[in-house]
Amino acid sequence: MSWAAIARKDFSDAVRSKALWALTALFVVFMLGAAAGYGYYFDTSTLGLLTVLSGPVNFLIPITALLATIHSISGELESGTSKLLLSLPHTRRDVVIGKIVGRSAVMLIAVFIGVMSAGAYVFAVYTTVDAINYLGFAVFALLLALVYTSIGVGLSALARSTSRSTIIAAGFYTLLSFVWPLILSVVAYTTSEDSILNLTPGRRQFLNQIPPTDAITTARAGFTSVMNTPAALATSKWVLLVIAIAWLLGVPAIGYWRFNTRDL
Amino acid sequence: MPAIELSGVSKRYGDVTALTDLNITVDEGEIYGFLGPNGAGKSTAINILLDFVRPTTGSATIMGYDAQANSQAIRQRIGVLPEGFSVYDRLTARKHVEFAIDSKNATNDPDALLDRVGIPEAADRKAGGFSTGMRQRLGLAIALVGDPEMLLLDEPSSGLDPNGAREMRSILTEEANRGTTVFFSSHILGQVEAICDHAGILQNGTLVAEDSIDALREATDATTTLTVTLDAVTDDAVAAANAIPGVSEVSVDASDLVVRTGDASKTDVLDAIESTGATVQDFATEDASLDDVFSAYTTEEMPA
Repeated sequence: MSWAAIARKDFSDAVRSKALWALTALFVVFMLGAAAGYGYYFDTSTLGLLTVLSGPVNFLIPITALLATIHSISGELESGTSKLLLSLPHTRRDVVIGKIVGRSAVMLIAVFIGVMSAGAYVFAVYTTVDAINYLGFAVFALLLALVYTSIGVGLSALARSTSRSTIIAAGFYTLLSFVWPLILSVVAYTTSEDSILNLTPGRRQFLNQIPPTDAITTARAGFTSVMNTPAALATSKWVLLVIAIAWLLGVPAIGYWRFNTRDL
Repeated sequence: MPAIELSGVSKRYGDVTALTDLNITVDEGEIYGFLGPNGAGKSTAINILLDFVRPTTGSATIMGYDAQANSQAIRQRIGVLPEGFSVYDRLTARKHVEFAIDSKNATNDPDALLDRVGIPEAADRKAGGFSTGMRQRLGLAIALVGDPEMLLLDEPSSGLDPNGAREMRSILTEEANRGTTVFFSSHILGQVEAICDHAGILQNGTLVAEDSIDALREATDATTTLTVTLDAVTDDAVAAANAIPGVSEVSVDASDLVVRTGDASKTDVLDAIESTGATVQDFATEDASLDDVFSAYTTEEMPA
């Protein structure tokens, strides 16, 4: 249970450095601003708002979570505070878990307050309110924050310098957001139907859902059953959830393995 | 059960060998000084005990716990001042100590510990602005959290002024009197000699001497270097000096004959040399100190 001491310290560090307040302010301004702006200029319907908000949220939450975590372990290795930390009775696993828990708490609080402030506005002002859909949006925004926070800490554990962990995170994000879909397109257009690499529309749709953001977004569509996208129907929402959890656990597991085999 | 045991520990980084077949046993309750010049491998050995670094071969135990398999149990029981650590810039001294108390499930009073290491006034200051000496004192306060059964300190006096180094030594002595085993490294003999029961000297990753401080001192006190200046150094003179019982080494340095003796008397040596027909023009004697032993071991030329 020694990770709890690390998580507590990490969380209070975020409070002390005002990072928690900065993140909360960011999400409140962004989400409340979007709800108010959309309601004022377009129409007061949750479905419309969420359709517009989805894209920016899917960008903002992962980027913020990665930025908030990418130096979490590499920074301690670089500065030498890791020696102070590990001369106390913490295992390296405690460090990875403690950092994930501490920073997840920060991200979840910031996103939760952002989503709830926008929700309060929606319930007070909007004429067409779809509570289930909004709640689904809120829950999956939190899941997105959770998954990317874990990924960020896991990636941070791979490197011993902040510059290298930043490159790793940027590479990870670029690879999954831009390169992966590109690879799928290239493979789809260049292989013949009898090749083993042939991507049927079904396979391609599934492979498109592998990146964490896509898996979570499509899972949300599946669970709230409002946006009946073909992709949501092609892959079971439960499978998508499993993919998201696999990212949440898998990247920190790899990061821990690297961190644990390293000489400090 | 030894407090610390390193058995056949070697560590290689690629082609570079940091430690070669290191064997050290430290008994419970003693103060062990781990001496050696910078770069000798002292920190590597200590980092292996802390599981910061994994040995290439060999094994290490502390209080019977395997340093790799049971590192957490070890670090729960010992206090550590690691080499090259950094403090958390944004945390105050008290927050550092509180974190250590929280991590160890200890019940110490942070202010009492900061007072003991001499920085009570810095309790509410952020450690980012501390001098190296203050950081070192804060590190010692953290090491003392949980009233550990053993202190493992890597260069505890580094960054401290002479006064601070003396205070550090007196804290280590107090802890040892309480029954705490103290293992600390230093590249300065004086700091080790003053308080240690045993000392080991590490050079190029190899333990070149290990004994109780008394035995080391005795061995060196017994050695006298007699430098005899002759009109001409002859092979006969060298042979005559060598033939005296108790003479351990004779070497020639220009017109000087350098004779190392254990218990042979100065007069016997001079008489023997003069009996070969050589004329003694001058002579000087010098008793070796522990310092000489240390520098003899540690200023050896690096093997190519």
